[in-house]
Amino acid sequence: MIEEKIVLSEVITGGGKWSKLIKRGQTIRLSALDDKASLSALFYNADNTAERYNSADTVKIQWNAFLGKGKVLFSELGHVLFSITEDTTGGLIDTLAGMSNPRIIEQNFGSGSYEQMRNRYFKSDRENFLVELGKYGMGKRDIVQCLNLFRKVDVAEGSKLLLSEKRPKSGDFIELRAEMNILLVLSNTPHVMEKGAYNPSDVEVTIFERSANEDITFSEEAKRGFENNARYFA
Amino acid sequence: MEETTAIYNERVSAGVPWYHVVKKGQSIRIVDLKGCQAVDTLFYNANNHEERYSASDTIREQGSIFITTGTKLLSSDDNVMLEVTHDTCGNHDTLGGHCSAESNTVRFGHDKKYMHSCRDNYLYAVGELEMSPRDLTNNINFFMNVPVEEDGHLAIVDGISHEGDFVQMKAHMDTLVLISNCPQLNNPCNGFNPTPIQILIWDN
Repeated sequence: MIEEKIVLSEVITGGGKWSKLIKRGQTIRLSALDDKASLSALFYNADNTAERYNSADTVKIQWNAFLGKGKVLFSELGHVLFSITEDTTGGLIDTLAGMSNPRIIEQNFGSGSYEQMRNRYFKSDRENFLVELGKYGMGKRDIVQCLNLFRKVDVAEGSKLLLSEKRPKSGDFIELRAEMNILLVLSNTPHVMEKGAYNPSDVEVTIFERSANEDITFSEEAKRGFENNARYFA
Repeated sequence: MEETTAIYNERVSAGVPWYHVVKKGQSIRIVDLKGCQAVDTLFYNANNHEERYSASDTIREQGSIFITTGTKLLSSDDNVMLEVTHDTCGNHDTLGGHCSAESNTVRFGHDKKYMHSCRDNYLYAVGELEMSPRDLTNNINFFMNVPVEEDGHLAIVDGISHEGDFVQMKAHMDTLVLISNCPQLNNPCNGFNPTPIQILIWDN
């Protein structure tokens, strides 16, 4: 029986930004409160932020652009940053499409300035990331291709990128276990390929400490990544 | 364009880094001299290296994961850096990134860590250029073939470029071009046989 202790529970408001140190061994659960949930994530080795999530290595090493339970998220130094230990969304994770910026937000949703909207103004991933990274002395150079959660982008006919219409259900969640000390930065904004009404919903964040690891079968590549982690912490 | 009118014409050996500034309006051609080479390429605003090629913006805005004639290479600041004007190959990778000693350990085994890699080339070059290792990000692999299937399956498979195939781009801003002429020996990205390329630049 794996015992678990909740060490933090918070809600990221729609449009909001969030960052936190996730300690090695802790698990973060990101829960959709309705079908409009959509998060973008950047994450770093907190002990050396020059080491970042690398989407290219992650998809190349695991032979798949789509991710889900049992897959891992690699840094550019052959370490596993996070393992995906649970995913009730059935793979609503996007490694390809990247992040929104103010021009894309205006193009896809129209004008939503602070002057018009006050604190419901239309924020973009890029704005959220630059603001949040700035708090750690980080900036543009630290922005890499992000990971998007709760939406998926299909690759049709071998090359065409299309935003899947699949959405999470209320209560769906994705769990990430930190395999190193991680600086995680989240932007709670619509997926970059979303159009229509700008109406991001709240997302719940819960951080757990568990008495043992879940029983998950990882690939040989992931196992070698864990061996690299063990060497790093030896 | 004729080779004789090029203002720059160099052969770049297999496995080495190369960098050069291509000025706004100039055109750069990369020639796969032997076929099936992978040319790992990054682009920076020559006057502000914080602005750089963005793979995700480029593929999302054109709706396709492959780079070919007509592709506008977009920057992280949402500007067009270069436009592909000629391409005799037709299929250049945007997803696979570059090889590194560390990813080689994960992909092919810990005994491969000693082998030369694109990331070593990039780190050496950004060191010499006094740029930051944080400037390294997802690159283009010219002439490398990485199809994606409906279930997301993705693999670096045999190249489709032939001897003399080339890709040519026109610069829309002063652009620092940083190449690692891939030394990978463990997969078919370059036919298990890294070979030289040729780079030509023309004034318009």
